[in-house]
Amino acid sequence: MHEGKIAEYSYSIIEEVFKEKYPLMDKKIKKIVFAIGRPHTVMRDSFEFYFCELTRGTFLEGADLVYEYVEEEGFYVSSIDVED
Amino acid sequence: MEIKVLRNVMIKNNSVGKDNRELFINKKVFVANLVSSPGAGKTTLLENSISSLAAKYKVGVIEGDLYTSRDAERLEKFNIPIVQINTEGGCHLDARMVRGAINELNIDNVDVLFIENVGNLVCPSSFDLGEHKRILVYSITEGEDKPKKYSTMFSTADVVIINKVDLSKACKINIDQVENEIRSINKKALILKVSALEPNSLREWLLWLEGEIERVKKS
Repeated sequence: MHEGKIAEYSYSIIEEVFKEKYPLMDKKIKKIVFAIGRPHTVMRDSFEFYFCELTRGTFLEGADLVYEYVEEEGFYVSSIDVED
Repeated sequence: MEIKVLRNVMIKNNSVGKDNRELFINKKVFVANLVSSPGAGKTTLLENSISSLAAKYKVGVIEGDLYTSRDAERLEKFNIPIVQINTEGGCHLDARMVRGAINELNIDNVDVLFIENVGNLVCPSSFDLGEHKRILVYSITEGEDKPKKYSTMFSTADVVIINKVDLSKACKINIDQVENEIRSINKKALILKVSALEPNSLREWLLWLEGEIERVKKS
């Protein structure tokens, strides 16, 4: 269930980065890439459930969620892909 | 357009944990984060530890629980500051919850602060609360195989207290094997064997605690 908290933290980080780049928040995010590091204590399905619930009706709704596995410790927001 | 972010999401928790740790260091309060699976004996250990420590040190407790205040009620007899955190189903405490609880405690009047985390051998391992030491209470009744199953929790513990050792024969558990399993995951942790119901078995634990409290006070 810590995936819920990790979804909240992820949302907050993406919002910070997006607002800094686009203060009007008038663009759409097409894709978010997450990097799951070792140890793999995050269940993807569970994280995705919480993240989708959290982003419903927000600027992040509908973005493709992509995952890559890395050797580093932790769970990262790797990149976001914004519409042109 | 792709924007590189490359940020560890746990930074959100860990930055507050770092602030908590700095506050504890500045105030010279030794802080122990007690983690375990449910029913391993954290509260019993706390009862008998506080019973011994309270004459010499000012003790405070932050109690983490899903819904109830039962553990906090068990500690009320000591007339010490206790702050209850109910996570409403959440499986762990995080640094921000602890920060809120610290603000309710008069930390200037505390030498040692125990944080009793939510009973769970998985999630609390990922959340730094700012504690000095993470204490894992492991009940012998959980079996010999759990350290490797829950290796993140065991690998991040500073102290592993093997509890309920008086039940090892009845449960047919080989304590040495449990210790070896723990040691194969965590080579540095202090491993203690106790029966928390028996205050006499806590001597080594209490000596270690006193050493840590004094070390932080003098730092």
